[in-house]
Amino acid sequence: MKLYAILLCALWTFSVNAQTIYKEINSAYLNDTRQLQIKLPKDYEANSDTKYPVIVVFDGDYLFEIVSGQVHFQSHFNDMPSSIIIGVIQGEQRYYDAYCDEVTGLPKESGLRFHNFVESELIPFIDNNYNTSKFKVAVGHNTMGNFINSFLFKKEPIFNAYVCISPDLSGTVRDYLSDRLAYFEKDIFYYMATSEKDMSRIKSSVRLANKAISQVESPYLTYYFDDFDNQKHYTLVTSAVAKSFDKIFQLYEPLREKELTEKVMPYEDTLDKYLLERYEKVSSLFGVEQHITEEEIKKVVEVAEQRNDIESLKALGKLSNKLFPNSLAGTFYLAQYAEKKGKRKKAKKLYESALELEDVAHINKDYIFSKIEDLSVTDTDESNELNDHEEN
Amino acid sequence: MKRFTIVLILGFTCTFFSMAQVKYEIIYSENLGQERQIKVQLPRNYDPDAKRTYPLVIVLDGDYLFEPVAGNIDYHAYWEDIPDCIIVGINQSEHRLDDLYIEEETYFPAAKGADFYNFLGQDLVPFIESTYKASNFRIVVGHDMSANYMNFFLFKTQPLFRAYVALSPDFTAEMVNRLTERLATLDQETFYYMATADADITRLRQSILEAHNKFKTIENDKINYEFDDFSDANHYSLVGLGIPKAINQMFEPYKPINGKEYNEKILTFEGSPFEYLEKKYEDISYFYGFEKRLIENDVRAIAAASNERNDLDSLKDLAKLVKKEFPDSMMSAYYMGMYHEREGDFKRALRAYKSGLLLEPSQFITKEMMLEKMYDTQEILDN
Repeated sequence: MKLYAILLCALWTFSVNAQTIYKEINSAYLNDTRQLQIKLPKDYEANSDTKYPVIVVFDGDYLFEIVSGQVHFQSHFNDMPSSIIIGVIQGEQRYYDAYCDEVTGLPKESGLRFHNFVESELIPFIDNNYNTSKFKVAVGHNTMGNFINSFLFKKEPIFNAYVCISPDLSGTVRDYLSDRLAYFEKDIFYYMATSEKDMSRIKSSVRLANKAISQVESPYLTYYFDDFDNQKHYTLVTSAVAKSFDKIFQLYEPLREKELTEKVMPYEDTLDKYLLERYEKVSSLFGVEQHITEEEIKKVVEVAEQRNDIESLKALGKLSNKLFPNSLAGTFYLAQYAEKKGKRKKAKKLYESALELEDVAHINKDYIFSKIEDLSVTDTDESNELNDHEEN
Repeated sequence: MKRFTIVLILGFTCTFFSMAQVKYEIIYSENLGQERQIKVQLPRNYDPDAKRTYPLVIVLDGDYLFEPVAGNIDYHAYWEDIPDCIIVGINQSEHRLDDLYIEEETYFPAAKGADFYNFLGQDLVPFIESTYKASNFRIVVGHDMSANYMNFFLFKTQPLFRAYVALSPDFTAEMVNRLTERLATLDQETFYYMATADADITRLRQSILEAHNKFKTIENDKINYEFDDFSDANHYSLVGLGIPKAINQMFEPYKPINGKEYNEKILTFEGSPFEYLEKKYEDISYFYGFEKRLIENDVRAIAAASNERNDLDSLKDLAKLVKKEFPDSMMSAYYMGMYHEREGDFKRALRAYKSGLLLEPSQFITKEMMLEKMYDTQEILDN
């Protein structure tokens, strides 16, 4: 009976927005159709203005699920923006798609056609059909790990971030990778991984390339490299996916302990500027809008208090009022500033007007009442003194 | 014409269905008195009518933990490093604190926390088993609070799970002491994995490191305990690093034969290479409670070892087994031909190779290879 009830109910299903869509795309370059796997963000709406970064996963046959699992997890905790994930199924075409010149390491013949397909057909197709931001990530393993570098060698690369997992680097691509990365004047993210038990040819060329890339000093390049212990050419992939996505979107993560102590604490200007700069960078880099939260202002206010920085307190109060005019937090910070400056009347007034605004979880109204009382007491003390003086 | 289109469409759906698909289902639980959302991922090419069963992975905090677990298992199963699994995630975001409620005096689940415990054992697992081909080798995965909660299943005489993946567990009072005692006395083969990281939440990290110091000294050969302390990772990013480590380690005995096993175990095995293969697969089914399907990698290794040791009987047994397991694959013809060639019966070898031409190529054996074998044998026969 019990089982029966369970079975019946199991037939109902719930919202399925997170399902993978399978689509075919016709390619004139390839003179063929290709199968795509597409995963849209959970809250994706075609008519909305929200834009999402695009992640193109080559060898989607086996890499799509692991990448989309990682993206789902990371965006759940707001550690990265929700993104559109495109898997390219390559099957037995893989060898031809990755075909490159032995000397240059760049795609030729069927490889060049596949390169053109990605650049002139696939990406425009995605941009035309979905709400995409300008930030695009390419993920490739093995021969496709080498292949994605071909976009990097273009004058205006279509990808901003490259995840090269145990790439089978070849020819000049291998030798000039570091030179090319040094030359960029736009933000570029490059991740590369190999492992202790990787295929020996790949391992040695990747390690050599790493040596050269680590020497590059460029403010535009963010480079990470992993050499995993005890992993093989295929097993290292899942760790590399987790690590690279964590690193690419590190800037986007919510403010956590580490950033507060290592970056916010020693920041040289007032702390509202830190927050504003951080968000400007996020939106210009990823092409997505991210909003400063009250929680983050609170965390930065705490740092301001720790470093006895009342000017930051004032600036953060103003920022908070601008962003959250209905919340009492901003006025509260300004009241604290006034109090610390010794402007008691002004502080009292501000505390009183804060009470008329909406509550926030981290500020207790009773505390504000007690503040007003304290300030009123000092007020009367002051006036008593005055009275005394007058009497005398 | 119409028939043609149907076949075509079927052809396409088949290719698409060979990819993993997630089902979202709602199940009513008597124990909870409410409905729950679950996510189910079946293996690629899951066959509801097949005789075989698949390990069952239960993922707590399925809202966010299901996808990375499912992605990892899909990937590693694709490369045959681990078996295909059935993965079930339970969404908990709306009920997390109730579900994982632990009573403050006894430090055991109580009230709604106890209901959730019964839901897993009495409602969810029986439902999955009656609907899908789940084996009784069950794995549970949890993070933070749920990674603590899942340990309560270990305290039963017959624990529901055989493998535990605890990602940065938030241990409640008494848990570490109880676990240390329990892990020492378990009498069934059990896998236990725990992970933290350098930038994990400080309080959790400290208690996990203390727990590790106790767990690592436990002497019980039924327990396979593995631990990771990741560098450059926090409470969240350690999840993506911990999952692949845990699942690869728990399926270590299942893995394809590699060079090390070949040299150190197969070549030196007291019985024949074929007997080694039988024993390996028997051990797997004893440990995991499900059969491992013969894979080509292992066939190649055993064939090579039989040839290296000049063990013709071993090769013959292998060829027969391959024929039984892969009747439609070129493999069956290839290894039968190899056996006849080795015993010097080139006529039969040629016949075997010829018969292979009509069969399906495998991962390693192509039509060109079969043709080459045919020409070579023909040449020997002609001389």
